[in-house]
Amino acid sequence: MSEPLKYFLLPGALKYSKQPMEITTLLGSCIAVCLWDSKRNFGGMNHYMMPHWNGTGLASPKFGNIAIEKLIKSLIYLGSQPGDIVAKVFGGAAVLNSSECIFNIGERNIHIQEELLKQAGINVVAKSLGGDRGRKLIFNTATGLVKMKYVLKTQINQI
Amino acid sequence: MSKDELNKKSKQITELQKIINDLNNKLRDSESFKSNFISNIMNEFYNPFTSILSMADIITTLSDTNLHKAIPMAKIIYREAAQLDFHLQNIFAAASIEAGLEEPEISRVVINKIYNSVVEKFQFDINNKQLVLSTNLSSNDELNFTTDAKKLSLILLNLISNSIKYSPDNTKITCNFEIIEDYLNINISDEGSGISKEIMEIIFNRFNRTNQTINSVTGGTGLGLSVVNALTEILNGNIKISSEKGTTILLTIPEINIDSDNFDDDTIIFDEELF
Repeated sequence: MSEPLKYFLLPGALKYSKQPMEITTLLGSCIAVCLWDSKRNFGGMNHYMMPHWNGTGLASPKFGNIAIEKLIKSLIYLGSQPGDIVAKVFGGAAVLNSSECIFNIGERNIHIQEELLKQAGINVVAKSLGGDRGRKLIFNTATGLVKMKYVLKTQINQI
Repeated sequence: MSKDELNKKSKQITELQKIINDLNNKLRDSESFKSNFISNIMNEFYNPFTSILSMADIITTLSDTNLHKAIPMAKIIYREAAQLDFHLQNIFAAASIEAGLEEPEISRVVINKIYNSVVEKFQFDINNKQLVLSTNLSSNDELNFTTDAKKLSLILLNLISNSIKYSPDNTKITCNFEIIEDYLNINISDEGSGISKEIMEIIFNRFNRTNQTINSVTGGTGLGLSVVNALTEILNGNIKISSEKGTTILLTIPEINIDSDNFDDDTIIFDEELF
């Protein structure tokens, strides 16, 4: 079998493909939702930085509500049935000093994916959320396998 | 639940309520801006097309002796087509950013070339308004930087277009570029009417136009600055606008190292988990 394509996903972007692909990303307080169609063996990943688009600037997948909706729609566009999609979610670390906020960004990011995936009827089959460490992910869109490693705090600042 | 906990929860609910109200208001505004966008865009596209079609039509009927008359008409065609191209670039960039498909394409770029090609697109308007456009870039000395040429070019197109649009006739626009350590600093200032405090808060929102009453005079899709802001973010840059007498924009973009890997595997210290 040929090697899957490799792709580095930047914050605020999303990637989905029918071709086997290894999508890598780095997360601090951001969240990555990996959606995988378990029947058709393809999937995609997003990487959002903030929970809601608040009407400022462009409605990009930098925001959780937009990123999750867009990724679900993208998979359905590729031929998925919503019932065949499962999710693996990562990130939401408390890496920023957020004492001024009642809710920190990481927590709010975690909350929005829980709500939206539940609303869409998508099961979360694996997750690693919260904590105070960043994460590196490699998601194989053909097998649905996600490899995750924790990363140092100093590296998170570069994310 | 203790009294403290209750107080905290109640505070959280109030905070959430405020967020929901804000969101509702912004959603309503966004919808109304969206409908403005359709009417703006119709003008922005119909007018240049009409000029291009009629000028091209006249050129085809010119006799051999009158062929020299084609040159000023070709200039107008170029100007109108450049405007259309500019608007299309903004619309496609906004669509691509909103789809999450924009990513930096890094190469070594000559800032002078990007600047010159941007200015060339607006030469007609600069001459028309008799503006003086000054820069510290010299034709003998190339300024090189590693970044995304296409994105930087669209950022400059928007910023310089705005300065030209809001500058009164016979005034000066200054565009200075300097590289300090690994940062490119771009400073664009004009002698226009400036921007009020209220407008400053919403200036990066899409479909906003600083003064709805002068739409027909200034033109534009209302997407420009939201695209500038999003592209600057993709380039890891920073943009500041200050406005007292005239408007000054300070854009800072870090150099991106082409060879750098996004992540160094050796530095991972924690165990791997598989899912």
